[in-house]
Amino acid sequence: MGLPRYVAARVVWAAVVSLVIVTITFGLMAAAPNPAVQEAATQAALEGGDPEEAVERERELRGLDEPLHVRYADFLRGVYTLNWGWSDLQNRPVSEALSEALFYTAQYSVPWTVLTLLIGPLIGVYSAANMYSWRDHLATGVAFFGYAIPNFFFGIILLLLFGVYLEWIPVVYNTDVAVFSLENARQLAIPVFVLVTGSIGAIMRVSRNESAEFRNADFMKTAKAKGVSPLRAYAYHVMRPTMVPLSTTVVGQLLAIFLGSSLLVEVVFGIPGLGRLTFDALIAQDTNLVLGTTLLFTFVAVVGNLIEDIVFTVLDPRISYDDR
Amino acid sequence: MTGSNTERQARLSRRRAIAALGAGATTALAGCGGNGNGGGGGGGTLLTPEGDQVVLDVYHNSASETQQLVAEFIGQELSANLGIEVEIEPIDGVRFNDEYWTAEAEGGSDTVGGETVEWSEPTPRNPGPRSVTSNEAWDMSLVIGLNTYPLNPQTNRVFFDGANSRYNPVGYYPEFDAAGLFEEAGAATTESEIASVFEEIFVNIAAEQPYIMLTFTDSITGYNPELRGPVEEFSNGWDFAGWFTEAGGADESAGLPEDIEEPPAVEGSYNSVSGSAFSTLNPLYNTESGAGTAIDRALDQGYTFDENQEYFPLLYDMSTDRGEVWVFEVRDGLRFSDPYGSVDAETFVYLIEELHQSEWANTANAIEWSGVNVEVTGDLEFQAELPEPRLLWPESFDPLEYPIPRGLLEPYVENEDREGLQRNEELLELAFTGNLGPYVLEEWNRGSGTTYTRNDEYYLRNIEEGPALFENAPYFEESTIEVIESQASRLGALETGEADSAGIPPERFEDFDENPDVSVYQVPQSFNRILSVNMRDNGWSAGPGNLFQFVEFRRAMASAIGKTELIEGVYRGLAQPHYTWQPRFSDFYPGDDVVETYGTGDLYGPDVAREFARAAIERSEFDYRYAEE
Amino acid sequence: MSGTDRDPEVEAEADLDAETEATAEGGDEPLLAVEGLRTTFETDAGTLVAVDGIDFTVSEGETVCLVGESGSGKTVATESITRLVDSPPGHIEGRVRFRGHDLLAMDAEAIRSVRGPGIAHVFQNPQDALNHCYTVGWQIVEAIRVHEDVSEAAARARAVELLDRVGIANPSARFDDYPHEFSGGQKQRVMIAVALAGDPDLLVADEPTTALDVTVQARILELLSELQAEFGMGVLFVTHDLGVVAEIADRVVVMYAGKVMERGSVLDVFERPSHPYTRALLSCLPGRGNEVTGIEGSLPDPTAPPEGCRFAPRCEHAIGACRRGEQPPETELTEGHGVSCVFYRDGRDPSVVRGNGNGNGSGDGSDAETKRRDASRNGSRSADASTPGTGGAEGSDGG
Repeated sequence: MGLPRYVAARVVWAAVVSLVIVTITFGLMAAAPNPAVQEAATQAALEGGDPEEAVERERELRGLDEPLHVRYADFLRGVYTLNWGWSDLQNRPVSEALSEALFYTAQYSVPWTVLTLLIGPLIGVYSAANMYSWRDHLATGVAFFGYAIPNFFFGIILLLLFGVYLEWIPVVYNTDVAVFSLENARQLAIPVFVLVTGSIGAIMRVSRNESAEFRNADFMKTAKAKGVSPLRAYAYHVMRPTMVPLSTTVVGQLLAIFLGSSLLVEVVFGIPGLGRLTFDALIAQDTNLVLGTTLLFTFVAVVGNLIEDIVFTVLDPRISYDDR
Repeated sequence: MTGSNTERQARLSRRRAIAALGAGATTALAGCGGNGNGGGGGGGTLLTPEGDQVVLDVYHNSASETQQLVAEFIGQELSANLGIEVEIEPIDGVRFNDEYWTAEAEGGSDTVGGETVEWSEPTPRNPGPRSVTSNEAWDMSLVIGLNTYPLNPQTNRVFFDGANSRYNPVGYYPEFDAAGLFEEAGAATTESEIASVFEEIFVNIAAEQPYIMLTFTDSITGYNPELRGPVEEFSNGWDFAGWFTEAGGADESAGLPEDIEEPPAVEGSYNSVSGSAFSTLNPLYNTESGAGTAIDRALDQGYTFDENQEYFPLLYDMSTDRGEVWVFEVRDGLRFSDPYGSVDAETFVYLIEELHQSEWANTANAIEWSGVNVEVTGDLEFQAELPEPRLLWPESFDPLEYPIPRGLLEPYVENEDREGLQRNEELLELAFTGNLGPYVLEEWNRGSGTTYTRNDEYYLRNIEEGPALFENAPYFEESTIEVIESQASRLGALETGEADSAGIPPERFEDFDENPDVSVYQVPQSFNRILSVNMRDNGWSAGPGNLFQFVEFRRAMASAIGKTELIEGVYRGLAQPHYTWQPRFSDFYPGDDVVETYGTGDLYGPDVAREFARAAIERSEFDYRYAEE
Repeated sequence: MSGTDRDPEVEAEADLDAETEATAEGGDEPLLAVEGLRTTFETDAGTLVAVDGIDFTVSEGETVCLVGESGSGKTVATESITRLVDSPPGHIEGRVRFRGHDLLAMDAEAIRSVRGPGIAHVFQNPQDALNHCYTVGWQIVEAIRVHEDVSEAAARARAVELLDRVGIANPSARFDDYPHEFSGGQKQRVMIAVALAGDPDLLVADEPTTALDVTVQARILELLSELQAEFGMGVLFVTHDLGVVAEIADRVVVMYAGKVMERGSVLDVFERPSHPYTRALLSCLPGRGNEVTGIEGSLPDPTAPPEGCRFAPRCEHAIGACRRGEQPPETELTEGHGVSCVFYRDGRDPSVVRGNGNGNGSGDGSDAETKRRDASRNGSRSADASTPGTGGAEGSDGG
């Protein structure tokens, strides 16, 4: 099986996984009592009406009296056409709320991810190349500092320092500036810095250990014997194999810290992104929005896994397409 | 239930054991805890009929450091002045509300002041007589604070309308004729009549201490020092449209200048901050105060109250003869954006009759208009007939309305489409506001707040009433409300000038007071800090017979807690003492000469507190006593 | 060792002079001359001496075998030549003259230009010597383009040619295959192609067949022999397999614990093994009854080598003189045949070490003869090479 066929198979598999998750979600929702229906019953009771009748009317209004398979089909159509319902928290369609939040989240998470993926392995390989020297200890120390210090705390400190005392950056996040503008870069510099320092530690450590292994590999000796310069040897012969095990940890790790770190950083810097949206939706018990964010993260996870699998096979030619 | 009871009993017996062990030490502490105010001495711990030290718990919101400090202060005071040991219990606010403060409405009847009272309409916050209790037992609580409604004290009827009032989680049975007096106040047809009835009510509340009243905490707000307009008064912000900036800064508490030779320049942007995002800006359905501020920047409501707390007409003037029939005069020249035409009497009557009084719409103001009969009496005039006279109707804010164009509402009214109305984009984006607000909403970014531009046609510029500064209002080209959830960031924005105003927590008061880049205003307000004592059957865990049920014991409690000491020690002076259910600045505050000021002066100290406590014990069938010194 | 005290720059100049001289002398200087090579490693347990002052030479087109047990410092010695040993922790002293230049005195860039086109390496384990992330073609092309400014296409063409030359079937298709798609023997062929990419003058092959299947071993050796003839390379071949030595070597250097025990032409060493260690090694050859047990005892601790002869603790003939002072200086028995053993010095009787081994000795010899004859079937190369080989050894000893 060639790469294209393999990728196609993985994509189909990802679609199946997402379908399974959506189906389970539907099952859970169908089994749970609908809060809107209950609310209607309560209200009818309070106003002296007939709760039973109110429930019937509400069920009819929401199409809950339809047979299960019809509702399932409707639900699937809704999910896959991005018709995810209305968010009471923000009073607009869920898909709109999500896409806007994603727009702001992407503005810092894309540079964050790119920088983490660039700098993390670089520092790791640098550390490995200078293992146990003061450079290694410094790099490790810096990475661990970023890893250990809570993002929101670090964020507040930096915001106070650069925003309030030095006034180099704005304290209030401005949503009106163009995405690719100096102002945007300025207001996102500190959040991105905080997030990068927070996530770089783990990646740096993994790549340091991995590349320490490859640094002493026989093929490095081969490269040296061929007359390859140390820089080129590290860039090609250590970095590349290091990326293989790294790629398996990175996607999962970034996803895992995504919600937590981004929520706190968004709160501190006032960025109206996905982390805050998800948190607010949970607190406000906005069912549709919670469902929407869950589905979004599910899809991100599924796609993340897909990318991880593909990257893995592309990076490590030894992995056979047939095995998986 | 049983499980938690057993657990509680185990806890109590352990607590008693500890108390017995430490009784000597406690006595010694109580002895030297005197503050000189009550003449020293006092002494002795309060013992139960079984001879154990009386130990009570006090709950406070675990998220509030201030509440914790207050709880600790109360613990010291009750120990020193009343011989009661206090256990401090931090708790999550929501959990307290759900499990301790509210109960399943059961109803029932009991004898109150010699008369049988029937709980016919029990509510979760007054589920029945004292025998009906919440899931979890509690003795004292600082978690909940309440409003005292200084403009319209009649609203306080929900708290004190007899034992059977809508809101009475503590199981308070008034020993004065509270229901009768509120009835009288409601039926009063002259201002002086009302004033005298309320004086009687509030003197009695001060004497009975339904809740042990502690303080009114000032709201501390920081402003851009160049801003002219803010005042350290309850009415702060009523004339927001006339605020402007003036280089060189303003005198503290200066407010708007009385007369100006030339209106200030229109320039810059007024930026404020909000701690949470807005769910909706739909004026029909909004119930949040933060979003209310955001709506008010673009759309005026019917009226407001000026710096003298007097009615100030914005969209309509209200007048009445005897409080039963109110005439609304809609201001001329008010108009919506195209194509909705002008604002007239029909606008409001349609809104009230077809939405607020309908069964389907369930608007935020629905309850305020039930039983009110409205009628168009002219192009710009309509009247409302109340089921009973209410001289303080405007002060209750019940007849306060936003104008909404009839043309916008009609399709939804026809289809009885509540969901559609809630989600209508023109309502959500305030796209119909015409000349009705100081600013025009440009964008509502759900996550980050609202931005506005100046409304050049604001009707307020052409009115005759109000400060001369309204002539060219407002004085900013733009305006924003930024949603910043983190307090540190909000304060940072205030410090750097990115925000022109922001609330300041008491612990940062001194920092900002000394900061030349921020002017700090100490604005009195009407929300109180009370020590609720549980008079229901699951209160008073110390032993048999709930002493909180006796007025004398509640007076003892109030006398044991020093208000001045509390304000200085915990609130750094940023609070006012709370004697009765009105703040001192209220027109309805009866005056220090007639109100019993427990917790200050002669009514503070171990002697006076113990004296009240002994009086209560005398009324009690159980043999509580003070230990010999 | 003497070289380390000198200023490297002065040394470099001296090298240039030496080259001019060498050219003038019409190539009398051997291709590679190692003098007093000493490689140490700083470890937590102390200074580890892996190679302790060895000398040897390799002439153009000659095959020199470095023989010894595992751990005797052969590999470190070869890797010290082009300074593949990491330093720190490694530290290399002495002189390594390649075509008249002292490799140990060169700057990093200069030594890189020698690696590949000058001296190429083939390593023991083809499994790990190729980077699993790149196609074999890529890795050969890299070896070409690191040194030569040629186009991608030209490099590719040459790489395909090399693959073809080392016996990879269907080379242009296999160019884009990854190492894991090749068998062990094929991988070693690829490694040889990588080594040949720079058209080296000296090929250092460090146990290139050890990790391979026996049947494959022979073919790889055959390939190396062919290539050596074709490219005219000098070959420094490291092995612990005396069978292989007999087959390919012109000259042999026997190493033990970082020291040279014996050196000589392949005939000298196989027919007249003079050092007890060499004799012990030979007794381990198949059919000698000792191949299972090997030599009794183990290598000395490299951080604290014993006084006197390194082999003394395991030597059945060791006497007091063996355990004193330094490793005994080499005694030249015949031209080019040297041995480092006290029994060949100070009037002692060498027959003690050869002693009851007379019969054995002749047996060794006959066995070696058989092997020699087998090896000779591969062509006239050995005969051609033997003469300059001897000459090289002469030059080395004289210098």
